[in-house]
Amino acid sequence: MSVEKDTARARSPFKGMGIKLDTAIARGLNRITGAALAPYQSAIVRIGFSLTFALYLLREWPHRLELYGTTSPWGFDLAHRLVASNHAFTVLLWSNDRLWFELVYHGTIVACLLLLVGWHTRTMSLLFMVGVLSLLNRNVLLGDGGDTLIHLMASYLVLTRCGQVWSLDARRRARAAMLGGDGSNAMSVTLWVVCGAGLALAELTGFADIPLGWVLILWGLWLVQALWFWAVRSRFSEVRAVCDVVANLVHNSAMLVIAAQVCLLYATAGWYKIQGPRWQDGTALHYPLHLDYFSPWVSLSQVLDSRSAMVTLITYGTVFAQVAFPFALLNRRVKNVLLAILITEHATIAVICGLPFFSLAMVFADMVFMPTNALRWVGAKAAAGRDRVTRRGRRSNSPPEDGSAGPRVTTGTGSPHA
Amino acid sequence: MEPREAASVETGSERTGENQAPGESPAIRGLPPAPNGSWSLASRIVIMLAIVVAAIGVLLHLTLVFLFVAPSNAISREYGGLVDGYVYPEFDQNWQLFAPNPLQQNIAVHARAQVKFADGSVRTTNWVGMTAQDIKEIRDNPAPSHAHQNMLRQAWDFYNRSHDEKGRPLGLRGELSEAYVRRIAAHRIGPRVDGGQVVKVQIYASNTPIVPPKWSTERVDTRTTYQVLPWWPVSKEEFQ
Repeated sequence: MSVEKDTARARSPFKGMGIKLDTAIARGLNRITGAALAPYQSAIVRIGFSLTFALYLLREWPHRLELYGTTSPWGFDLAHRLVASNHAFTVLLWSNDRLWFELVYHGTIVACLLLLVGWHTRTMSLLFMVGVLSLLNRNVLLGDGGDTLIHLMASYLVLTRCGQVWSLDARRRARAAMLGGDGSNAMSVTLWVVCGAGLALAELTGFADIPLGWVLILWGLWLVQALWFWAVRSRFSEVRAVCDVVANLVHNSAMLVIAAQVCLLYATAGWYKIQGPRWQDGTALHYPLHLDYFSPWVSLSQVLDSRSAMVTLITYGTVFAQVAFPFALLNRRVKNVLLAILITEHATIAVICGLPFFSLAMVFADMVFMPTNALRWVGAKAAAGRDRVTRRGRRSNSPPEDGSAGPRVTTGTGSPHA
Repeated sequence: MEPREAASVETGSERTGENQAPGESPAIRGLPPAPNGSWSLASRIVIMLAIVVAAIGVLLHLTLVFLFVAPSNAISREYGGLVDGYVYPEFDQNWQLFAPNPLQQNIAVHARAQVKFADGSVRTTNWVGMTAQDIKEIRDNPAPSHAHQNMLRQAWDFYNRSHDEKGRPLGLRGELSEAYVRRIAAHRIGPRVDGGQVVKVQIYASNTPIVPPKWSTERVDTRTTYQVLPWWPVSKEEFQ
C-alpha cells in the first residue's frame, strides 16, 4: 500500500482495513472461545424456566393424572399413535403404569428444583429437559405459547454453561479452587453412573422405546461427560483447555440461539399482527377481553375495555413493541425501555388473561436481554434478603456465628449468589 | 446476551487495531492463551473444527426455524420437507399470538349422552355445558389449570383443524381428534347416569361472535351459529 501518495487528499476510509478486519476477527474468536459469555443471562434462563415449570407442575398437581397421566382423555393409545407418527421424545409412553407416571412427574419437579439452585447443573439440565419433553409431548394438545417456550428453552439450556453464577456448583467450585480441586466430586461421578446405568437398563430390558436420534443424543451427552471427567484429571493440561474452549463455543452458540429465538418469537408475533384488520383498526384488544376463557376477572377486563383511546393505544403499542424489539437490540437504551414495556405487558397479561405461567416464561425469556448490571443488582438484593432471613433464623436457633461457613460465597467476579 | 456491549467492545478494538504496529499479527490473539505457552497442531485442528461445526449448526438451526415460522414463501416451499423434518417435533412453534386477528367469537361446547338401562330402555340426557364448566373454574382464579383453560378448548380446535367443512376426518389426526373430544365428553358425563350405562355421546358447539366495540365502524352478524355432530358410540374403555 502506497500510503504517502494519499496524504495530500482526504484519508482513505479503507486505510488499514485489512488489519482492522483481522483484528476484529481475532477479537471475535477470542471472545467466543475464551469465555462462556453472558453468565448472568444464562443463569437467569436456568433459574427462570426451572422455576416456571416447577410452579406449573405444583399448580397442576391435583390435575396431573387428567392432564398427562393414566386417566387422561388423551389416552395412552391416542398419544402412542400420534407419537408414532411424529417421533417426539417422551418417557411417559414407555409404560402406562401409574407408578411410572408418578415417578416421572415428581422426578421432574425434583429436577426443576435442583436445577434452580444449580446443584450439579450439567446433569440436572439434562434431566430437566427429559422431564419437560416427556410431560409436554405426552399431551402436546394441552400446550400454549408458554409451554412451547419452556420446551425450546429446556432443549437449548442443556448446551449452555448455565451454572457459572448463582448456583451451588459455583459455590462448590469456589471452595474447591481454594483447596486446589476442580469442583467435580464423588457425587458428580455417582450421578453420571446412575444416569448411564438407568438408561442402559431401560434399553436392555426393552422398557425404553427411544427413537434412534435420541439414543445418540443421550449416550453422546453421557460420553461427553465422561470425556470431561477424564480431561480435568488428565496429566495433559492442554486436553482440559481444549475441552474448555469447545464448551465455551457450544455455550456461546446456544446463548446466541436463545437470543435469536426470542427475537423470532417477537418478530413473528408482531409481523403477523400487522396483517390483521383488527390490529390495524386498533380494536384487537377488545376481543380477548371478551373471550370467556381468558377473562378470569370480568370487571377488570371491562374497565380496560371501557375507553376507546386506551384500547387503541394498547393495541398499537403491542404491535409496535413486538415489531420493534429485534431492532431495538441495536441500541442499549432503546432496548432497555422496550424490555421494561414488554415485561410490564406480560405481567398485565398474567392477571387479566389468567395466564401466569405463560407470562412468567415470557418474562424470563425477555430477561435474557437484561443488562448484566441490572441482573447483578437483583442478585445482590436477593442475596441480601436471603442473608437477613438466614441470620434471623440462626439467631433464633442461636448457634455461634461462623464468618466463613455461611451460605454467602463470592466468586471471582465478587458477586453474591442468589 | 448483550449485543450492544459486544458492539462497543469491538469498536474499541478497531481503534486499537489502527494504532497497532504493522508487524504485529493480530491472529495470535484469536485463541485464549494455551496452558503450555502455545497450542499444539492437534488442539488447533479440534478447535477450528468446533468453530466450523458450531457456526454451521447455529446458522442452519436459525435458518430452518425462521423458514418454519415465516409465512409460506418460495424458499420455504422448495425446502419444505427439510424444514418440517428438522423442526418437527421438538422445535415446533407457533407465535401467531392473537394474530393476524384475535379470535372474535366465544365457542361453547356441549355434550349429551344416550343411556341404556337394564330393562332395555334408552334415554337421552340433557345437554351438559362443558365450556360453562370450564369458565366456572376459571372465573376469579388467579392461576387457571390447563385442565380447564386448554384441554377442551384446544381439543375442539384440533378437531376443527383436522376435519373438512363437511365434517370428514383428515387422516390420522382427524381420527385422533374425534376420539379425544369424545373421551373428554365421556369423562365429563361419567360412565353411568341414573344407574344406566352411557353408550353414546353427542356434541354440539355454539359460536357466538363478540360484538365489536361501540366506537368501531365494523359491522358484523352477531347471531350465534351452531355446529352439531352426529351421535358417537362410546366404549367402556373410553371412560378410564
